[in-house]
Amino acid sequence: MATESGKKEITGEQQTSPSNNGIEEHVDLRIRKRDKKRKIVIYVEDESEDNDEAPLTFFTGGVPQIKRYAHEILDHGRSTVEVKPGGAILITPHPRDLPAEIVSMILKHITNQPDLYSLTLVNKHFHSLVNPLLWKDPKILHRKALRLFLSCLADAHHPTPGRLVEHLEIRGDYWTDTKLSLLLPHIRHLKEVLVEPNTRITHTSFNHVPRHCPQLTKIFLGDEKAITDQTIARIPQHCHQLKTLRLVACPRLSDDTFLALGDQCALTSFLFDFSDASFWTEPMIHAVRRWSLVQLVLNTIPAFFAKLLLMPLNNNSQQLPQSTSFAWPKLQRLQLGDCTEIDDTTLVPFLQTHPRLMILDLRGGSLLTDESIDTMAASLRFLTTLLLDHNHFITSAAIRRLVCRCPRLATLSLHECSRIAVGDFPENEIHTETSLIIRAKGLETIRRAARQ
Amino acid sequence: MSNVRLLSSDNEEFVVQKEVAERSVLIKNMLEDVGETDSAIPLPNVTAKVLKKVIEWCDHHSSDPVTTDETERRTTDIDEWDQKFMEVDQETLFDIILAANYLDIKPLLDVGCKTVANMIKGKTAEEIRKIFNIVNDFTPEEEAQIRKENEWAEDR
Repeated sequence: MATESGKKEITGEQQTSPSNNGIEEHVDLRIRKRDKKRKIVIYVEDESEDNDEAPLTFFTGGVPQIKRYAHEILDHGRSTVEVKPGGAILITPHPRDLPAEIVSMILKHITNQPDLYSLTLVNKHFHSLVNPLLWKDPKILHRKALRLFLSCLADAHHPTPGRLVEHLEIRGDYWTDTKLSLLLPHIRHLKEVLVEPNTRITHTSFNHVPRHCPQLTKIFLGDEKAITDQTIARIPQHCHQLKTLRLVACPRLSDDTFLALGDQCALTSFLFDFSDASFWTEPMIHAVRRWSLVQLVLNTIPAFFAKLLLMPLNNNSQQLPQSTSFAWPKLQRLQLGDCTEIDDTTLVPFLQTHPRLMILDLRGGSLLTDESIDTMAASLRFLTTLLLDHNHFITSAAIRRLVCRCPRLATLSLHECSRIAVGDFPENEIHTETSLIIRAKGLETIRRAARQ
Repeated sequence: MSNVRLLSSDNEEFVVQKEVAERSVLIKNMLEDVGETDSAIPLPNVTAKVLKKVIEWCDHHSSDPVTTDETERRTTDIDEWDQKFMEVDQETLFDIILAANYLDIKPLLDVGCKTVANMIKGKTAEEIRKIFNIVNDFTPEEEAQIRKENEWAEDR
């Protein structure tokens, strides 16, 4: 490690010239011996800057040390340094090359679309890394972007970049049946599609989505206009890998259509946000029971069907040999919104046989009492989220017992439960008149207080 | 607490607490393989200047819990101390990243990568080329083609 006093100065000066310039630029360090003490003066010749006025000086023992200095000044040994016989040193800065794996790691932190766009234009290597990221999840943010997107795909050379598209969110009134029909032939590898309610897309174009995109694993339909019984019927015909189906609005479906979903697809998540008690039939409920669900969201199920869905089957139900006595051993999330007629006799056996539940959402009210709460406390070790708004027969004493026995619980919502007052939980740090939602910190305070 | 001696590529020796040095998985594995040793561990890919910075970081973070969760590490922001620590010239920043990669100190590598990513944000292609000191190897036709192909993504 060289310690001459001039060294730092040189490093500082050099920062501005070679390392910031392009690869082709050469920096000429001319060295001449001034006196017998081997004091050497270096002139940095850089046309852009006027460095001749103040030559940098340092003492050195000879060519090897000059070389080492030059290496240290520039690129820590990765530049080429030539010492010419006349005393001139020619330094060619090495291009800054981080290994490809590190460049990839850096690029993982870039998600903003315009930044990705700029990165595709940097050079061929960056283009090959970033273009797939840009096209994987194209965010079409306005009418003009959609027009450019479609015209690019129409003009694209083979192979079309459309093959890179995996996730598509269709939102905005500039999406029409024509636009979607133009797009579909290009996006055969689409894995996830989401249709928001505010588009002008109808079932005329959406009916063709399953045929064009057989690799879909996730469909989220938020627009009733895009769905008919036929739309849903085509999904299991083509999309055998479908795992997640979310329907925010839905017309009445035939039993056959509904049954095919489970028979032909690999559904693990069924999210049915639609509130229509008349939607359900007995064969549909039996179909849902047979799916290998991890997530289930249902709203407004009449009591009779809720019982059919959740209760263990009796041994004498021989007409359904495939059904197991309890429905979904891997279930992690259950949401039963506005199922006001559900009671302890239905839910308690269900909770006892589904110990992996993490998220339980029973907002909208039910006939559940503390018996269900105590069963949750005893059975659901992994529970993280419990939402019980508008449940009028549960008490704060049972809730406190549950909090202590479910160590992972981090969100507890108890709005408008008539037997529980906001003041029952002074541990809750966020106080408002009506709102009662307790987060991890408050829950931990409750547990600590109970231990003492 | 026992100490470990580390030798930089330019032959400067650093004496570091074992616990601090073991933030580097490379050194940790080396110590496990070799056992107790009096000789200095040579680090031929790291200069004294960079090693000093890396040790400073390891020292500050010596009691951090080890996060194995990739996504958690990727999504957490850079904390204030690390931000200050990374306020170095770009050359040193890149050297710290390379050293973190070589020494296998994943959290430091993450902080370095995030810092460079923040430098890229909001920049044009030409400005990004300057950061990485890379040359545009597209022909004008190729560049125009990509510009056209990806124009839909340009707007901020």
